[in-house]
Amino acid sequence: MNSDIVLRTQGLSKRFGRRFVINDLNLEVYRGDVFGFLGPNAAGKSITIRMLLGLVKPTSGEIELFGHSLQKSPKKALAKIGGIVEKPDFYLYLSARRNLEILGALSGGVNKEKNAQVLALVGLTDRAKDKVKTFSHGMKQRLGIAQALLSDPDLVVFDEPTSGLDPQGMKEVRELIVRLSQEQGITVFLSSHLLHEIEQVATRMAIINRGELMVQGDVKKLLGGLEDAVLLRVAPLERAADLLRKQTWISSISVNGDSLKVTLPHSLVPRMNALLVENRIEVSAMVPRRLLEDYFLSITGEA
Amino acid sequence: MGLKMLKLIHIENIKTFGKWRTGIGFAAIGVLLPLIMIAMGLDMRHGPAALAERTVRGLREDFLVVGSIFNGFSAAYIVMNSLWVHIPFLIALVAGDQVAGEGAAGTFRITLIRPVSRTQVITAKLATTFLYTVFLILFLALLSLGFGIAFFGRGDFLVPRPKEILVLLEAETWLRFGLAYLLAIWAMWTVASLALFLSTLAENSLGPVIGTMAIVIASLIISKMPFELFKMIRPFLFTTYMDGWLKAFQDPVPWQHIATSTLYLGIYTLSFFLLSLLVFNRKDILS
Repeated sequence: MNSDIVLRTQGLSKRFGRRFVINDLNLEVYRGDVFGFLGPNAAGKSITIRMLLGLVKPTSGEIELFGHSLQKSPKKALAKIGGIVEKPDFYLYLSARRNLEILGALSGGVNKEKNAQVLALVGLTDRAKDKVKTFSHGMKQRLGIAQALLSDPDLVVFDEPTSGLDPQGMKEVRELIVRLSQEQGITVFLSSHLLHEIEQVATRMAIINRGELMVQGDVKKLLGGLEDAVLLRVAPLERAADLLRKQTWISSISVNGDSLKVTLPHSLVPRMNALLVENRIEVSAMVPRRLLEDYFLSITGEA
Repeated sequence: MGLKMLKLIHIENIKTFGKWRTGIGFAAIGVLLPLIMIAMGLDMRHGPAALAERTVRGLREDFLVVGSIFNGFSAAYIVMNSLWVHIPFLIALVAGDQVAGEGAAGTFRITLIRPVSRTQVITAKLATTFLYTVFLILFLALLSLGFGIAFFGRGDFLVPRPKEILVLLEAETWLRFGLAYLLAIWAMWTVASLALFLSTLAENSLGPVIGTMAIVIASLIISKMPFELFKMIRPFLFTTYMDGWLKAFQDPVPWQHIATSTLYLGIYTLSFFLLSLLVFNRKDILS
């Protein structure tokens, strides 16, 4: 991993009235990271992103982007950044192309070829001349991604980029994020409430809750010790439970209504299946369940 | 002014003049002015009861007036009274939307995350609002003089003033109207900067529009009511200095008064602009 830090917050805090919504937040994002930023509702993700992009002034603390202080040199700090903050809103009465021209000009000037390129990247070439008010939410979301990439950024901040997209659109955006990181070397700061989304694309992550950093680090290391859980629909239930309890490679078993919840390493799931079949136990369903959700809930204290 | 600033002003122009609400002012003037002129023309048939006659009724009490003393200039002069309330409303409608409208629409989330300073953004918005004001007043001038002359002809202009008679020769009248419209633009810029300032405080554009009009109307009332308390307050109200355009029709032109009013209005405009900068640079974009 490249050790260059592109984004660093030190003691970042934001207070509204007497209430701290972000308290002493220290984040580090390295060049090339796809950095997942997780937290339950009202954890302070959006306010943090707004502070990182200069929309909200911190009460205290420092934000450094590419070595430039956002508070002291905002233009330099924001020069290499693109982003989407919450839902993408545009000048609805202007065309998609006109919106991008305006935003490109604000970024210091973007040529027509680049506009066409980002529109093509998000599949909106055919709608470039249409007013944004005629766009669906998904199309606005894609236009949001286009505007974030307009000025060839080195860091892109995405706040819930797949929100409102259909499954195919979500898949395309995730693939795009991975491509941006792997092929173009763009660092991605990705806020999401979709745990599997972070798990699929992020290389490092941070979890915040009630405005405070709970954990930060490499995704594989943080989740590496976790095992998979599998929900089993089997008959007869009790015999299956007895059989599995005798196996030393199975971590835990619990009866969960009319199913069994079995915890074991992912690689051993086929072995368990074979064991059940060999012992003439009918397996009608086997639903894998990652424990990231449990991990997240335990970290945020919501469990 | 740098190239970047000009580019920002161009962007603000595209945004502002692309909105339907910006067209409201022009549409209102474009529709109402011909109607007003037609109504004045029809009213003239009623002889002494006509509006045109009523405006010079004071004169008839002291002077013997023969023939028509009402022409296109008289009509344009009457229409200029819209500068007290109606035109400020049309200006507030656009200026009040400049910041609050973008806040409500959420577009600051895609513009202010770019390497552009908020000071530049507000300056560009003010410049665009000023440009809109110029266009609106010029449109008012063009239509009121154009329709006025088309309906009532032209000639020397008898300025309707109580207890005195002042006739401006036609050539002089054109210059006086030019001066009046310039002073009107200057006064309306103060209204525009007030609306822009209120716009930085609000989250939707209705508040700044209502706020601006409330301040303008309340100040005008205080300016007109003959109470001692109000007399003390009057020097501090910008509306007290908004009558420069009226002074353009006096003889001789009271340049000292106009210069003082212009200076005070300039100070108010600058103050509202600086306040806008102060608020907007500290504002958290939460919408």
